[in-house]
Amino acid sequence: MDIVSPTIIVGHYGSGKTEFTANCAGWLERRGQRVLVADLDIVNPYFRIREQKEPLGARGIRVVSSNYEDDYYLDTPALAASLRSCFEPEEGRISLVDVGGDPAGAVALARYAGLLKNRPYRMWMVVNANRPQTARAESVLAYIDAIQRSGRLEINGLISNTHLLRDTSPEDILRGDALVREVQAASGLPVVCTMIEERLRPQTEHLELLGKPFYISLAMRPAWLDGAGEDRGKDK
Amino acid sequence: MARVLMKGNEAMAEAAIQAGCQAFFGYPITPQSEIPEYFARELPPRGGLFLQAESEMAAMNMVMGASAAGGRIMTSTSGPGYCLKLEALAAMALTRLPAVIVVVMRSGPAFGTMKAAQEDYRMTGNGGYKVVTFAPSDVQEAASMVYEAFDIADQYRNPVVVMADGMIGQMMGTVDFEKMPARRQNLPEKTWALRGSASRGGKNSALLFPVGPAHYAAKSEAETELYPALVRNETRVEVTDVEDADLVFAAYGTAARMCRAAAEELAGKMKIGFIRPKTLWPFPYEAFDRIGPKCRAIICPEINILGQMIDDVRIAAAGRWPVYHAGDTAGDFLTPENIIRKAEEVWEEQRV
Repeated sequence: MDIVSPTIIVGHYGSGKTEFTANCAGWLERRGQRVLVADLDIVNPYFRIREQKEPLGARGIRVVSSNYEDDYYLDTPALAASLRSCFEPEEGRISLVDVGGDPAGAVALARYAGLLKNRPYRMWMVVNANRPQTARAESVLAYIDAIQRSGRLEINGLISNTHLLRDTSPEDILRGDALVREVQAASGLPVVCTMIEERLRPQTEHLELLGKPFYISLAMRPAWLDGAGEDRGKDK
Repeated sequence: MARVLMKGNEAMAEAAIQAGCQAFFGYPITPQSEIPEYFARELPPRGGLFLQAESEMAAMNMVMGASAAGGRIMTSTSGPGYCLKLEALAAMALTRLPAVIVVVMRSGPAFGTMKAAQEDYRMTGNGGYKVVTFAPSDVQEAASMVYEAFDIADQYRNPVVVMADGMIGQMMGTVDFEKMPARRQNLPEKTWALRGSASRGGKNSALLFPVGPAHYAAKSEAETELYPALVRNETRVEVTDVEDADLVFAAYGTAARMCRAAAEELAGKMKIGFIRPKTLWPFPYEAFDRIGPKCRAIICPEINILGQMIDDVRIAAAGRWPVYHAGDTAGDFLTPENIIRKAEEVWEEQRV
């Protein structure tokens, strides 16, 4: 993946932005990069990258979010002053910016847009065809447009991430690939990668995908959320 | 629609629309705001009405009015807003007006935190009413329960509450809307509904709060007919492996998911039985009679301090087994690890 600093991740809520950010940060770190992660999500206090502050911190990856970041469930949509530095160039450091879902979440981005005038940046949108709001190319294109308008920056890449959690099949990934192909044809946007859970690697290696596989392991989803056997007992 | 990936909140809203919800009145509050957002976007183009009221109280009174007009109506909120809705809810229960109320629980009071919690189990308004209260444990079930809640409300002319916790509302899960429960047939016609004088040959009509002797008559009917029927017909529970269990976990919602993970971890050391109320009222007391003679204790993990459902579990246990709470920890949210630790502690204490 052709990453520059900053690389900004946007998309529909629930599409997998934060999973991508967490995995991408780890991938960069393993390649010897110094990484700074910015959590710009002030829309929703659940499943945000700041929850990974400790595990990422243990690997030398700093996470910046709110000035109240130690109480990350407080109802204060506050942004730390230090977030600004994520949008400023610093030699030898890559910043990843995880933005809140939907155009509503991208609003927080607009105040930093001026810092990126005449400077290269990446802004990638995560697309999941199994999310009803982004199941068709027209709706993905409408999302691109709306996020660009509220974030005041331009999306310049797509991340294909069509999955059904633990029930994901190669067919899901292929359907997602077809969707981003269609979006690419209409918008000209390149497909940066296809997110695939590591456990699906053997079943998907032969697939011909527009975006190269980026193998991930779920960082944001506690294992107990997908415990075995829903409702094994007998109903009364 | 085949299987899709949705947030619990979105899935509950979509299920309501598919169940024929005609109007939604609400007010935003985390962690349920995706519900009004979904209705705002989806309901008007599909023929329904969405209205964001000026407060939770106003929203609930609109629900009462629209229900009196014969509609299939829903509102949703979290604990702080549920407090404000209770007065109108109690009035609806006394007047026998159906509606569906979704409560996505967070740790209160309002100034506290927005983390998921199970703190509204005991929250009821005055008047001594009872409403069927569902407790979903995953996204598919949350959708199914909301879908069925509309029919139950109309069948009995009584509000139905779906009590999800923040994690169920916020987590992503797969949903298949082709797997919704069967629609109930022969629902009573709403002959009492106020549809305007034109619908009654120009005669005015009113639906009055029962007062004086009628007040006691309405309550007596609820006590002797409605509530026994609900207890008989609408109690739901999932029971697993209790007959030869060493310990039994009793939990609902997200805590029940954690219990499953904990039980798997503990499998080699002790046999764990599992009772998961799917309705918090009517509470499935009888399920506890199936617990076998080996059982030493019941652990009731809840995402709260002290425990709330635990009192019903104690009533159900009727002194046959000691009942322990596992809940909020000083540092953070309840986890499967906390439950495992509690189970090991209790096991050490009780096996001697």
